[in-house]
Amino acid sequence: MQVGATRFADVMVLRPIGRVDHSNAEVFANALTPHVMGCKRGGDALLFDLSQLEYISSAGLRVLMLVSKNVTPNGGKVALAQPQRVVSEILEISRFKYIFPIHATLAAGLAALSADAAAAHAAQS
Amino acid sequence: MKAPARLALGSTHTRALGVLITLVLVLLLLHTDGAAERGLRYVAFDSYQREFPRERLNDSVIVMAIDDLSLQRRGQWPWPRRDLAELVDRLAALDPAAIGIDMIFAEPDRQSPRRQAERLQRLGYLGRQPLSADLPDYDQLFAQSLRRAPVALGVGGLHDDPRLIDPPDYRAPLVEVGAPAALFLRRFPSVLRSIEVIDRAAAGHGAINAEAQDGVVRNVPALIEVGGHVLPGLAVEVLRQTSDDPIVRVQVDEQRGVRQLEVAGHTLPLERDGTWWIHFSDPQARPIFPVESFLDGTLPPELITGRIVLIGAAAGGLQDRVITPAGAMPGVSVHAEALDNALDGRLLWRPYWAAGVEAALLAMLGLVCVIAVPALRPLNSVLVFALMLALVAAIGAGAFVGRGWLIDVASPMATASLVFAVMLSIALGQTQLQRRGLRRALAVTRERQARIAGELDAARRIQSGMLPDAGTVLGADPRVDLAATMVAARTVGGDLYDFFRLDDGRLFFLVGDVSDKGLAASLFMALSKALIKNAVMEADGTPGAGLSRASRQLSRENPETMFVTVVAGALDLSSGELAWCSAGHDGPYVVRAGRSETDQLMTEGGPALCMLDAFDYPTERFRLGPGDTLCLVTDGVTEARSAQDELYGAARLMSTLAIAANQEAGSARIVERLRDDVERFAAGREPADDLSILVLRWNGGSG
Repeated sequence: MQVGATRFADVMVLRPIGRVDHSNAEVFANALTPHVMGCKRGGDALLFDLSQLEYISSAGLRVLMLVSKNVTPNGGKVALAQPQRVVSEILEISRFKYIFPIHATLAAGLAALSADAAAAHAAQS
Repeated sequence: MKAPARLALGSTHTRALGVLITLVLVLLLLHTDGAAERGLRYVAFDSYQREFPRERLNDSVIVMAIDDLSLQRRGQWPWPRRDLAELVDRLAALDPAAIGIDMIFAEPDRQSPRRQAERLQRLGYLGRQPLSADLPDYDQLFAQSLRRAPVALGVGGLHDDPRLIDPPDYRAPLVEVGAPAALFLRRFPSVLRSIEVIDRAAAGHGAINAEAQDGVVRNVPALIEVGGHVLPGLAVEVLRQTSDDPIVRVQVDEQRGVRQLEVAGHTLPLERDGTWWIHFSDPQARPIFPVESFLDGTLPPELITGRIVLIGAAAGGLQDRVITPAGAMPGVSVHAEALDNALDGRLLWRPYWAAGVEAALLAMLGLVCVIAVPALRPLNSVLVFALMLALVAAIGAGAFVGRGWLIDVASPMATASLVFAVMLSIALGQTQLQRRGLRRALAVTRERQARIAGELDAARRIQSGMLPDAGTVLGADPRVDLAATMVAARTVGGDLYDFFRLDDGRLFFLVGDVSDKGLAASLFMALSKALIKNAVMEADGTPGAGLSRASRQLSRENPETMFVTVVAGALDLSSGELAWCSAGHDGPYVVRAGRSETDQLMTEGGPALCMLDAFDYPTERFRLGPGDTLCLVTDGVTEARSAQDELYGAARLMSTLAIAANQEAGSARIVERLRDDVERFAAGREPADDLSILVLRWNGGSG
């Protein structure tokens, strides 16, 4: 599993690729750590682009939840965007909508987080 | 596993130590000349001599000896000097190149007739008339013979001054170039020489000293100093006698001492103190002619003409035998060897720069040790070092054979072996330390694994023990048939199921999944199970209220920020009324009695417990009919994967459940069928997740 990172203005888009389960949840967490540090009030917002995430187990969900618990008290913002079918079901069952805003498209996610980021994204595409 | 680095010397340190030892030894080799070093040097030089003895290229030097045969025929030594006079006369008549006499005639000849007569007169055996003037004096006779021949007579340098005789006043015709040789030559306070009449008669005089170092004669003095005068060695003097040029030229360097000597057209390289290293030939290959066989005419006369004749003692009783690197030989042969060296141009030289080369060889060998030993296995470093030693030995032998250079390779070889031994023992010590360290670490790991295995075993037993048993909880209640299983992906799992009676008419059940696996998850599972049961009891068995309360309590006891998904239900055993709630978990599956499809109950529900600090979970209602089958699973079932990476999925679960519920009479069998199907599906893969199945069949209010 890998995590790609792209910045659109003040939003860091993180793109986990492959599967996240208990065998690599720690790798996933470590890959996120530097971005989590930067995510606070006045800093970057985090948007997880889940379009290339094939599967996420409860251990992976816990990592996402830890991200939320870490950044929320500091005023950081986190959102999820464009989960694929399996992951979407898992998020649905887990009721992750109570933790994170889940957006159908990347553009929608960016727009919800920051107008600048949405503009940057629009300019690029 | 961590290597016990602190116990071992790093290879950098080892190398630094090796360099230091090598440097010290190089300095020692350059600036000291102890007995050990000299001993090693002689070992090297003697091996060269033994391995590569000189081949005799000419026979210009004849050794003629007073040997056992001569004594046997002519009688005991000393012989009357008349006989020696005859010997010299007859030799001179054959025109030899030169005659060297390796003997000293220090006392008058007592057998001389004039001396005998005087003695007899003194003793009163003869009359008082003077007879002596008519009688021959053998010493005079011998002196006359000597005067007629090109004879070099031996004199012996004495280390102390016994005041036997006045110091010699003869001067060798010596030309010194560069500096006075006497500054450097070996100094003898006095000489032992023949009686004046004989000594004066000889054309030349040469020192017969051939001193042994630790019992072995390796060199002879080419020049010595006696009382301020320079005296040539016997071989040099004999050479001088063979030539028309009487001058001996010696080159002397102010710092390095005597360099070389030229005599009779031969140039001899010398040590700083004027000694001359001799390359010996096999003593067996040199014939030693008995003086007697010359005197009795057995020896062909042409043997003498044009050759150098050395006369000395070889009889066992005369005690003039010396040990050389090539073996024992009469003392006179040493001078013959020296003459051969000069005539053949086979000259040994210990170059003044030899010590520098030896230090460089030591430095090189030391460097090899320093580089190779820490890098190679011990056996390989022994091989490499042995090869380097062989190379150095070959360098020494090559210099000796090719150029006659005496390079001492034994000292660098021996001292470098010391460096090698130190380096190797450190390396071996380190290897052992490392091995011991690894063994210890392995033992620790095994012990730890065993302990963890034991602990995990205990944890599993505790966990299994915490899961309720249907028989104990429900007894023989005919209204309900419940079975459950939990299979952990690791030894202990993060899944849980539970069921308990709320009161006589109500049964509470739940299935949950902690957001991790292994020991930590199982502990959180145990905590969750206890807290949920407690919270549900406090909430009067209402699932939504119970889970809301449980979530709040769990959040307070959750330092690892785990969360747990739960689906829970409370079944009224009389009415079939089901109150249920989901906290981030799959809804229950239902197979209606007599139907061949499975439904899934859906709810808005809420997130997993502990995800949000305060969430009020809604309670859903559903009514079971008699014979309806309810199934709760964790994602270990639906998200099990096949070898082809397909997900088991809800659809397969639902169809398998529908078939099993119709075909099987009891919940236990349904659970078994579901579990078997998942296992078949996931055959050949490590289970990625814990797996729990709970099946409940309501048989109706009256059973």
